[in-house]
Amino acid sequence: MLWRGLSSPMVRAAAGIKNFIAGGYKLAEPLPKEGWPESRGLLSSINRVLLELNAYHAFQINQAIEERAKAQALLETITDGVLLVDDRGQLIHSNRRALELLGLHGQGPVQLPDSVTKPEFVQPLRELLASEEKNTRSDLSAAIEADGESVERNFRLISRQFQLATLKRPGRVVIIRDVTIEKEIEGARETFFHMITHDMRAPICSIQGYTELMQKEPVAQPNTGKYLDAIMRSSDRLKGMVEDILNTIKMERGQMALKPVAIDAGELCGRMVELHQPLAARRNIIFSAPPLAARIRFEGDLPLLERIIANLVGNALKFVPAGGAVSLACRTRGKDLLFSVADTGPGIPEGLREDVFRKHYQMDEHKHMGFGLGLAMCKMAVELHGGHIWADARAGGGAVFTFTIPLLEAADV
Amino acid sequence: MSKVLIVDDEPAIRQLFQYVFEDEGYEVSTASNGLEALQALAVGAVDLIILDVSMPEMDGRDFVQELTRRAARTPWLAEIPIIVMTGENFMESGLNQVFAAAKGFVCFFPKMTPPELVLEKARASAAR
Repeated sequence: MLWRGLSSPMVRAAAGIKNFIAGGYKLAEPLPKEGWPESRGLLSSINRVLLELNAYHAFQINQAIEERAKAQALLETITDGVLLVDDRGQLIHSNRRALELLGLHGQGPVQLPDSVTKPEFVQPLRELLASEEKNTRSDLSAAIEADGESVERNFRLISRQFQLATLKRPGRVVIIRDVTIEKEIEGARETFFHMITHDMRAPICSIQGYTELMQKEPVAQPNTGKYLDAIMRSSDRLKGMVEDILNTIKMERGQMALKPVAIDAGELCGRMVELHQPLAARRNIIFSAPPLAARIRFEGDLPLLERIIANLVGNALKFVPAGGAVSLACRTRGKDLLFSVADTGPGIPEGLREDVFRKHYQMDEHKHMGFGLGLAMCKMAVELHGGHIWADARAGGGAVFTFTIPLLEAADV
Repeated sequence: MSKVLIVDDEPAIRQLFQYVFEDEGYEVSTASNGLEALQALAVGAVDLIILDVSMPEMDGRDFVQELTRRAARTPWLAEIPIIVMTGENFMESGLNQVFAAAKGFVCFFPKMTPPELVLEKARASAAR
């Protein structure tokens, strides 16, 4: 009797709990409170625990649905396309804009870039997904439909790696941004800049021409010669800047054609030293070029090469403190001719030695010192010659900039 | 015997509080939104309302405002203690104030506060 009063409610309770678990934490009916007072109390407590679990479960699901809806609402208001992709290229989440841009149809699993039907995006996405970089960025242009018409737009793909908490794997957030307007503004700005710079050439030539004429005249006042030299040096610098800007634009547009002439490397170095000696002397910097072991003749675009060396030497003279030294050296190495400019300045931190060649890049401490164009121009001009340029640390402190020019048929010259 | 009206659109929450309050000897009625709650109150008075905030048809905020409006003719409606249960965090202070301004307002509880704490508050406010 006692046994049955306790055991049969317990058997039913056990079955009820089993059903609760099997039914996905849903309790159709509370367990009946029956049997002895002790078992009724226990059943009541069990019921409360089960109902709380049930309610908690429902609450969690509602919360999750709500959070998802919030996130989606945010995502849909962004005008960029946004994608979340796992490390195998499977699409995890996206907004409608991304699906439209890539021509994806959200039915079933979407594999990137294979499912993408907009051909222009396929290769950039493939590269981005294969990249080991934490952050990537690439630009492309694609034809998209707008108001029933096909228009060419520029897009920027920006991606960032993130850790998928649930999968314990890295995934990527990819943003597809329409940068057409930015590109147009940038283009207009460059054209404007180009125009102004171009128009500065003639007055500079005129200043230089008349200065040269005056330098040939008998000196009227004791200081006149000094003043004229200063005018000449400054207008030379201005002319160099203008040439750099125009060269950069031409090279960027692929409109620069090299005009190779036979050049004597020793003479070139000597001329560059002569040109920069006055500035070095004024700053109390020793600027020298060790004589070449042998006569080296090669082919290259002389005005461009002069601008490259002038930029490297000019930079060195800018950053080396008084009492320091700058040297320009030239030697052959295999089929290359190597020019290097070494200085005893502060040097360039290892992590920045590639960045300094980027257009408009300037090290934080050198902000407001020029356009950040010189080294970018050097890189383009060297590469146009088929050579390379790089920055190193100088043994004993300072920086060394080296560039190579291939010695093509130099032997025959 | 005290009567309590549980207003929540989530059946699992209604089921839980119904059980907990009945176990404590309350007489329980339920409603799944504000409209149903008003209908229930038209049928008979209660001593306490447990009220959810976001519900379809008529949410907790509209319910409280409607209750205040009806209290002009039926004064006892304004006297019913109301415990507000919410899954939202009260970012929008305007919403907060609508409840706090109601005469019967007792307190806010975040959703999934242990039922014991709600019961305790219910006992205290029924004794008021």
